[in-house]
Amino acid sequence: MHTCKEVIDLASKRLISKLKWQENLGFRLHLIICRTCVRYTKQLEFISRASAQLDEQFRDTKLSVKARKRIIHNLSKQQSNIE
Amino acid sequence: MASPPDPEQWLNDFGDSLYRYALSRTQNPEIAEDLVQDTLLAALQAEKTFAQKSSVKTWLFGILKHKILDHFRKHYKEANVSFDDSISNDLRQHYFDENDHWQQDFPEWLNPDKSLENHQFWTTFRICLDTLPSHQASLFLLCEMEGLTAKELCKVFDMKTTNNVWVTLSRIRMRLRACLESRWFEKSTDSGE
Repeated sequence: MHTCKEVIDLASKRLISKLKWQENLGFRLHLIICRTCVRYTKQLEFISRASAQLDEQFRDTKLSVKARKRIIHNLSKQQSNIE
Repeated sequence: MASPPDPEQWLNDFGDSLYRYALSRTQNPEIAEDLVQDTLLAALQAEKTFAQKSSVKTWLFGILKHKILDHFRKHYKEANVSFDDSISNDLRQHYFDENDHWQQDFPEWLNPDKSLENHQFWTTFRICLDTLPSHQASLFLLCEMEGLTAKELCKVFDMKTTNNVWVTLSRIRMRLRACLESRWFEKSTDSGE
């Protein structure tokens, strides 16, 4: 039987990778008897869902005028080197 | 005939979205600006090889993704960064008894998905990301946002085994969970009562 400490590592691992069948079975069996691990697993799933929406939090962010000027300057410098 | 490359037009059309993409993954404005510039410079150089099979946008984002990974790879190559950290060690010690079972219970998070609509939640989320050591935040973001596999993360961060990646991600998530709980969910439960 897995310990809770092992189960929280599996709860994290399964978010990006398929668990081996033994791991998956042990994980599922443990969740039947452990409420805290169920809660922890759900909370990690939430954090993952939130992370997937992080991009949207930058929607109003823009390149600064200064950075834009610097980039244009360097681009035209390289362009004239190519030509 | 193909028209001559117009990098200034690329910058006008896609500069901001490239920048946002780079910033959300690096969390660092200067690095993100440099990555946009490097992307456009590389695009200018490779313009002749651009097959026109994809849109300019897809092409530029493809270059940017490579540049982002390159940036981290260079940064962490032989840097010998330790992914072990005392805060998550302490947390683990605090959470588990000598048999590795919980010695405390957590409160349920009430309607967590509702928080996603709350502007303040996102401020808290980003503060929690900032409390992580920068290499941990980068590892987490490349995993979650770029969908890199453990093997790919191993290479980018110069870690020895995929098992190191799993364990590190587990610790990062544990810290984020604890941070969100104390800075957001415990507070919003209080105010909801």
